[in-house]
Amino acid sequence: MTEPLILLDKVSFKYRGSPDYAIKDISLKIHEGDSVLIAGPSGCGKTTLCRIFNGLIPNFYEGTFEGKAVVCGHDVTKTPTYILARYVGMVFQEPENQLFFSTVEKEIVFGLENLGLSREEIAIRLKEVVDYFNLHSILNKAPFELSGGEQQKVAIAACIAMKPKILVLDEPTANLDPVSAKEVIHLLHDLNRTLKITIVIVEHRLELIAPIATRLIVMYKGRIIFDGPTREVLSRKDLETYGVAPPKTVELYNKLCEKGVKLTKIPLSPQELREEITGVVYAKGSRST
Amino acid sequence: MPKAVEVRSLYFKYEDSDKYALEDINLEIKSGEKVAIVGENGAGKTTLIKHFNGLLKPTKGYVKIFGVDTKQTTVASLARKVGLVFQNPDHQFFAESVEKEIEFALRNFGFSDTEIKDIIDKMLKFFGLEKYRKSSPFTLSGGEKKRLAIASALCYNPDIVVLDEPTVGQDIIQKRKLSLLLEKISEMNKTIVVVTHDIDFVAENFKRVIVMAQGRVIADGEVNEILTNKDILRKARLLPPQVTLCAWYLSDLGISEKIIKLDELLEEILDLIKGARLC
Amino acid sequence: MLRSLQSFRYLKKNTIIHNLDPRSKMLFVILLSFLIFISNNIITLSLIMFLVIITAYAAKSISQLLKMLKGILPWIIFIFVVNYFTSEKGILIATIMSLKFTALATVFTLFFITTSPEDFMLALNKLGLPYEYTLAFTMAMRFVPSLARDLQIIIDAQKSRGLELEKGNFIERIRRYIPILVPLIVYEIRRSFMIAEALESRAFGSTKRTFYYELKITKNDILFIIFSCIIAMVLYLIEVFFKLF
Repeated sequence: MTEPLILLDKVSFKYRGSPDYAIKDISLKIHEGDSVLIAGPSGCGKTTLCRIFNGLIPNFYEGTFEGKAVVCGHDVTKTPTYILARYVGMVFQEPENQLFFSTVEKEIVFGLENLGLSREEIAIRLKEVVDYFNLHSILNKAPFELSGGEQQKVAIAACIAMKPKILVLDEPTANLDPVSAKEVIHLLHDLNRTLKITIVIVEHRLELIAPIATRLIVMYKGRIIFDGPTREVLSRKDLETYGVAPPKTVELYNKLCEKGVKLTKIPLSPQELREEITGVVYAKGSRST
Repeated sequence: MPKAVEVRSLYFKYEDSDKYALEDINLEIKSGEKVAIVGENGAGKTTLIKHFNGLLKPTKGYVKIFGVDTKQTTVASLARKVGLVFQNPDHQFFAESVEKEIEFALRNFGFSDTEIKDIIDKMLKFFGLEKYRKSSPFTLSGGEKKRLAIASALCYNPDIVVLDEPTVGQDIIQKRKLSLLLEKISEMNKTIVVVTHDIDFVAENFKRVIVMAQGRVIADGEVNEILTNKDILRKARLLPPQVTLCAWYLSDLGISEKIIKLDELLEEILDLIKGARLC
Repeated sequence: MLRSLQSFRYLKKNTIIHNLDPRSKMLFVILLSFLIFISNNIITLSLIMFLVIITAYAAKSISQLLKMLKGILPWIIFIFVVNYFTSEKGILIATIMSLKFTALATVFTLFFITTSPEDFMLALNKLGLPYEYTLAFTMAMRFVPSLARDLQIIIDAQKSRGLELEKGNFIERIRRYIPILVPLIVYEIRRSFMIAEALESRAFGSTKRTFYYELKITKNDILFIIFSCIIAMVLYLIEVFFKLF
């Protein structure tokens, strides 16, 4: 087994001035190529956990940090955020507050300037990213001229230009309408599959992300309560009591089970549901029961 | 009894724009109805509801609230009848305590001290915010803030309650609470209008939906009909409810494309399998 | 009022003036500002105004400038009236003061509408200002439209709760702005935290940093600088000439 990119060992964190721990006793490992979905009710600690992945906690947010957290070989308590930012890109919920400049091009260049790359290298990476994300038509536009979906695409592009190993996204589609959200998810899927970038997404709407997530972590009141392959975690019947709404395809799977219909696997998307049902129908049809 | 909301040939253009943000809107909402307005970002949903309490006035056409033309009266007097709750509670909190936050609208509308005290007690109880009475609104969690924002609008008993994107960023438990809240408000015979792009929430909580796209109303009617209509959804750049999408993927196996409820889909799938078994 | 603030914004255009190095334009502004300050006669001031108008024409920004002037008209009138009533030579002094104000406002506006905030920032960097300060400044400018939008939403939200801003005497009216200012300040403070987080996540704060964009002094800049110096000298001589006679 290769070294994990992110290793947390019994990590707890309390924000300064807060009486309670935001996260307690968190242990997890994230490996290269993983596609992780973190879910849980509001206030469960998902956002706090994300901020450890790029060192914002404990560098930007002060508080009591217990346990060990190592990201790409660096101890987060001993490494400044600007070093960790080379390995971990972070995309936030609010598109507007992570686009600082008057053109898309300047936005992408900013991170590369911070990395201290040469001008030639910056120009090369700029072109790569513009080509990959198809930003040619909006390269000289200002953030407020872009739609929410385009803004998030630019934020993601600006992070990817820095060639991080991991991309962490904290509810990136919360403020987007469903069609734009789907486009962003599709983009992330490509990044994970073709560019082999490890993706960690925090999201409420499981039906959007579950199809592309290989692993699902559920948090509740600051702790990780479930952590495993997506289908395995979704097979649990008590998810809703923990503030997690499984996709309707999973609910359907459960109800079919109750009625005696066994599918081969839990469908995570309507496409998979179709495959499963087709399988059952034709299997039943070809038997002479 | 005049209709709660009547909109006729409404056209609206912002001052510094040549394009119409709203074109030829015609709709009626009867008193006590519960309606959802859906559409992608920029379709004009928020622009439309700002006409309901007079924040925006029509460029052409009219909007009448209980028979009163919004052009003939002030925002304050319309706001008395129309409680409009904006998407982000952080855009309105300013008081030192939760109870003072609720008091704000009551003072503006001239309620007496005894009435105010009474109403605040009731509101805190109704929304489960009693233990936060003296807390600063800024210390509340996201879900609690949303409840407080709605409480601050509901406290002065408007006849029409309009919520702008109340489900954004909410988890399933919070959405369930919101559903219950909408039911309770509906039982008070209030008219409810919810703007959202959460199609599943609409499918589960509403019977009537208005679909907007590019400043126009492109559909207005029964949720079951409209949210299963591929044409309308495509024009509005909306996704169907999850259950409907599943039904569409199974349509060539004989499943109806007009399904919204999970149990209906379950029944049809079971019938399908049973049918195959009998072959 | 919010609309007239728009007229101070940088608009990207392809004119000689827009394409000049900010430093050449800064020299122009400084020289003219100096002349405007020391001048006390109508002829010089009118010539300066005329020069500014020609430059505005070269920058294809006459209409934007007119919008700006419309916005500050109340102030121009105010200055005119105050000076009219408080000085002996009444009309003359009033006109001179109003002209000074207008000329100064126009010169500065012209600079900001023809220079992008980032180019301005680069120029300040080259002149010695540390990067963090110029970045803070340009970002503040970038977020002004966002702030304006938040302000409008807050006003709408509070009006929807019955807040009436027009009513009441002066003191009451000030108090009515509290439900507007408090949410705005809190919201923008929270926003600045979110921006700071995002900046750090983009590796801001690292010790070694490249500057991808650079300013280049071109032939046009040299010509413009020479032109500014000559014109400034001529105007200065005219001013001195009139002072002596």
